[in-house]
Amino acid sequence: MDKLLLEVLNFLVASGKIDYADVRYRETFTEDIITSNNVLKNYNNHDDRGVGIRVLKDGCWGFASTSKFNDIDSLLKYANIAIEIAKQASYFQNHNSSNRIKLTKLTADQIIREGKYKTPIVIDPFKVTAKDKLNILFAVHENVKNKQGFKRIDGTMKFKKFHQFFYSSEGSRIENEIYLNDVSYTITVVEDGDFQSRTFFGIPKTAGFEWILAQPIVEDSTRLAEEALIKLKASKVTPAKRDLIILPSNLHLTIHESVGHPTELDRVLGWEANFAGTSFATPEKKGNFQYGSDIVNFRADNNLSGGLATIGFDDDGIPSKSFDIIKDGILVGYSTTRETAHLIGESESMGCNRADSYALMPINRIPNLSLMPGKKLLTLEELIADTEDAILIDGRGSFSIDQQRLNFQFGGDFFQEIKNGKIVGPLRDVTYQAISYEFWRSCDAICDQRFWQTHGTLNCGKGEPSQTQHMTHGASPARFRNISVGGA
Amino acid sequence: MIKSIKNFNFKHADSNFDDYIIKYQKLERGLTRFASNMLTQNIVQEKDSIIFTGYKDRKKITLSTNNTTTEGINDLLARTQEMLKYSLEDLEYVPSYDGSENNENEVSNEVSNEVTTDKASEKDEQEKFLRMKMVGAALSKVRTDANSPLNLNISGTAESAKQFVAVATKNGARRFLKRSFAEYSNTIEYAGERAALKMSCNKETDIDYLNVFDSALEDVKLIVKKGKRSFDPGRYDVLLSSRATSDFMGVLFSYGLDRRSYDEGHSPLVGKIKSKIADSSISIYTDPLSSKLSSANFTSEGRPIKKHYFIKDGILEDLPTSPFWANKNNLKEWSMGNIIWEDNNIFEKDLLKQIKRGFYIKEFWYIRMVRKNDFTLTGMTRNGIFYVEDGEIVSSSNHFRWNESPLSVLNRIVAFSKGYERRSFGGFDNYFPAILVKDFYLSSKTGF
Repeated sequence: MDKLLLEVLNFLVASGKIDYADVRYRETFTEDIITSNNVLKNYNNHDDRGVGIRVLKDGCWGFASTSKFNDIDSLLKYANIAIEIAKQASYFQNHNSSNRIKLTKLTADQIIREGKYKTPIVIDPFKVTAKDKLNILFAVHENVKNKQGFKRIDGTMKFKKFHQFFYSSEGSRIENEIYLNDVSYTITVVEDGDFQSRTFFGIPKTAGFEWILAQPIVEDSTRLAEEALIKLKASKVTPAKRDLIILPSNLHLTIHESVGHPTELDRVLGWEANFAGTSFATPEKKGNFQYGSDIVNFRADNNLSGGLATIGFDDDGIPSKSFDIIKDGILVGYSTTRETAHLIGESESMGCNRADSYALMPINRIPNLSLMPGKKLLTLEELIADTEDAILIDGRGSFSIDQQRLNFQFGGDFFQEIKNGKIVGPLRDVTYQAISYEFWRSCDAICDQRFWQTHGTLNCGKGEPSQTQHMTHGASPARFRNISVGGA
Repeated sequence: MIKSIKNFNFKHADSNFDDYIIKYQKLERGLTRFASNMLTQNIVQEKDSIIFTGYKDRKKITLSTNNTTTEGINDLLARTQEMLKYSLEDLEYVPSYDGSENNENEVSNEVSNEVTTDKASEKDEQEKFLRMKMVGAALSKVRTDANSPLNLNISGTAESAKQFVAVATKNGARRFLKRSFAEYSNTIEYAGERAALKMSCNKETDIDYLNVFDSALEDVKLIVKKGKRSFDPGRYDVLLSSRATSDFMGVLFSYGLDRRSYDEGHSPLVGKIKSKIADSSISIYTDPLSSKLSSANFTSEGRPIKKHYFIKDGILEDLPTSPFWANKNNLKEWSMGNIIWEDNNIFEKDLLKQIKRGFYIKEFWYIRMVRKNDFTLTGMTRNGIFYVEDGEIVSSSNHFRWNESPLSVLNRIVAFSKGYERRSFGGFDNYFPAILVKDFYLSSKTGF
C-alpha cells in the first residue's frame, strides 16, 4: 500500500496542478451484534477499504475516493478527477467570489515526518468469537427474563478497528490504528396496559475487548429490570422550575450538544449553516463571554486515555492536543482545523479535522471534551444532602437543540426526587429545557475528581454527505439551579 | 440476461450454505458544498460492496466487503463459513424469499457491468458540470448582489448520485434496482436572518435550482421586510409546509411502529387496529409502483413490497409486520417502501388563507422521541416561521421548541394540500402535503 500511495502522491506533486495534496488509505473493520431476548437478530461483520485523495488548488478543494485501492490505474484516475474538479471549482469560484480555502501554515518542525499511533489493547476484539460475545448479552436475558413485567430485552455490541495511512505533499507520513467498542441493552417491561424501559449504557472507549469484560454488564441487569418496573409506577413530573443533580451518564450528552457543537469553529463561521447549523458562540465572544458559572471549566483532550477521539493524529496530520475551551466560566477556545484556525487569528490548528471513512473529506469535529471536576472535595452523597428540592437524573433520554445551539431539551432514563437532602422516590416523564449558557451559568456545585466519569457519543452526525464520528465527554455529578422541567 | 452477480460464485455458495442472501451495491456520487460564499467541499466518490448473509445449521452471520474482485468475494465466502462455526442459532430464522412473485426481475451482469465501466464515468463528467453549474448560479447571485444593498451569505449543497442494488437468495429471488438521486439545497442569510429550501428528485435535470434559490431569497427578504416579533409559547394553529410535514410525520415510520411491538403491548397504538385514529379524509400508504413516487419494490432481503395501507379513511389498517412475526401469528408480512399521503389539489398558500391567528412554519429541525407511550416528539422550528392573522403574513417570529405527537396531530388536521415529492438517499422516499393543524404545542422559545 505504501508504494501505491507514494506513487499517487508523487503523481499529484509532479503534475504541478496542486498547491497541497494528501492521500489517505483507510481500512475499517466493524462488527455489529444485535440481539433481542435470546435471539441473534444480526451479527454483521463489515470491512471497508479505500483511498481518498484531497487536492487544494487556488483555494478550492477537489476530493475523489475509490474502493479500487489496489489498482494504480484506478488510483491515478481518481487523482486526476480530484485535480480536475478542483480546477473546475476554481473556475466557478473565480467568476463569483473572492473567498478561498486556505490552510494554517505548518513550520518545518510541525510537519510530522513519521508519525504512528495505536490504541493500547490487551485483547483484540476481532479475535474473540461471536459465541463468547453473544453469551454476555444472553446471560443478561437469562438473568432478567423471569422478572416481574419483563417483556423484552434488546442488546447491542459494536466493535470497530481502523488502520490508516496519511501522506501529504508537505511531507507528512502518518499511520494510526484505532480500536473502539461499545455495549448496551434496553429492558422493556409491560404491565397494566403501560410500558417502560431502562437501559444499560456501556461506556464506549478506544480499547480492546478487556474493557467489555471490565464493565458490570450482567451485574447491573437485576437493578435495571427492577428500576424499569419502578418507572411504571412512578409519579409524572409536574412542570415547574426545579434544581437538578445530573449524573455523568446524562450530562455527557448535554455537554456534547450545548458546549461541544457550539464551539466547533466551522459551525461558528457558518460552514454548516445549510445543515448542522451555526452557533451562538461567535468569535467576538472569545475571552469575554460568560458561558458558565466560575466553577465551570471545559477542557478538550485528544490524548485522553480511552477517549473516543484519541486517535494520535487528525486527518490534517496534526498531532492530538489538549486545550481549554471554557476556563473559569469564560469562553476561551474552539475546536479547529487547518482550514479554520487562521480565520480567527490562531497560528495553529487544534487538530480536530476527522473523516468517518476514506470516502469523504474530513470536517471539523468535537474533540474529547469534558467538564472538569470540582476543585473542592465533594461526594455525590454530600451534594444530595446539601440539596433541598431537586431531581436526580441518570442515563440518556431524548435530546434536541436548536440550530444555533441555544434552546435545548433533554430527557433521561431514570429520575429520582430529592427532598430535604434525601432521595424520596422515583419520577417519570422528566425533560429539562434551558438556554445553553443560562444552564451552565446555573451550575453551582460539581463533585470532585473521585466521581469523574467518561461517557461518549458514537454516532455524532454532521456534514453533507452525513458523516458520523465519536468522542468522549467526562464529568462529575453536578448541580444546576432553577431549570424548567416537564414541559413535554 | 445472465443470472449472476459479477464475480460471485453461486455454485460454491449453493453447496456450502443451507441458505443465503446476497446484496450487491454500487454507488457513484458527486457532491459540491458551499458556505460563506465559497466552495468548501467538492467530492466524487465511487464504492461498491457485497453483503452476504449465510446460514448453516440455522446459525447465521452477515459479512460484507468492498473488495468485489473474485478473490475478495471468495475470501468473504471462506470467512463466512469459518465464522459461522462460532455463531449461534437464529431462533427466528425464516427461509430466504423464493422469488415466486418477482420472476420478472433478474440480477443481470449486463446491468452491473453498465455501472462499473467507463461509460458511466463519461456521464459523470456532465453531472459534475451540472452540479457546478447549480452552485455557480447561486454564487453568481452573491456577486451580483455584492454591488447592491443585499449582502447575502449563502451556503448549500448540490448532489447527484447513482445507485445499483441487486439482491439474490438461495431460494431463487432475483431483484435489481437502478436509481439515481439528485438534490439541491441552499440557505440564504440576509440582514441577520435566514431562509432555506431544498429540492430532491430522481433526475438531476429536474432540479429547478434557480427556483430553489429565488424562493429562499424571497422568504428571507419577507422575513426582513415584515420584521420579527416576539411571541410567547403556547398552543397555536399552524400551517406546516410539506417539508415540515414530511419531517414531522415521517418520524412515525422510523421509530419502530410495527406489528410485533403492538402485539407485545409496547406500542402507543395498542388496541387501535381497525379503529379511527385520524380524520376520515386521511389515508397513508406505501406503494412502490405509484406514479406519484416510484421506489424500490423489494426489501434488503429481496422480499416484495406492495401497496399497503397504514391508515385508510382515518382508520388504522395495519402495521408493518416482519416475516417471522407474520409466520408465527398467521399474519400477512409487509414492509414500508415509501410513504404516500393521499393528497388533493389545494395549494399550500391557499391553506394559509384559512388561518385566523397562528404560524406558518417552513422547516423543522432536530426531531427526537420524548415519550414512546404516546409518541410525543420534540423539535425546533428553523429557517422561516411567519406569524399569520386573517390569512395574511403579518410578521416573522422568534423560533420555538415544540412538543407534539404526530398520532395526536392526526386528529387535529383541519385541511391539507397537494403533496410534494421528497426523495431520500437512505431513508423512505415520501410524498406529503402541507397540513393545517389546530392547537399545535409550541412549548418554549429560543434566542433568535
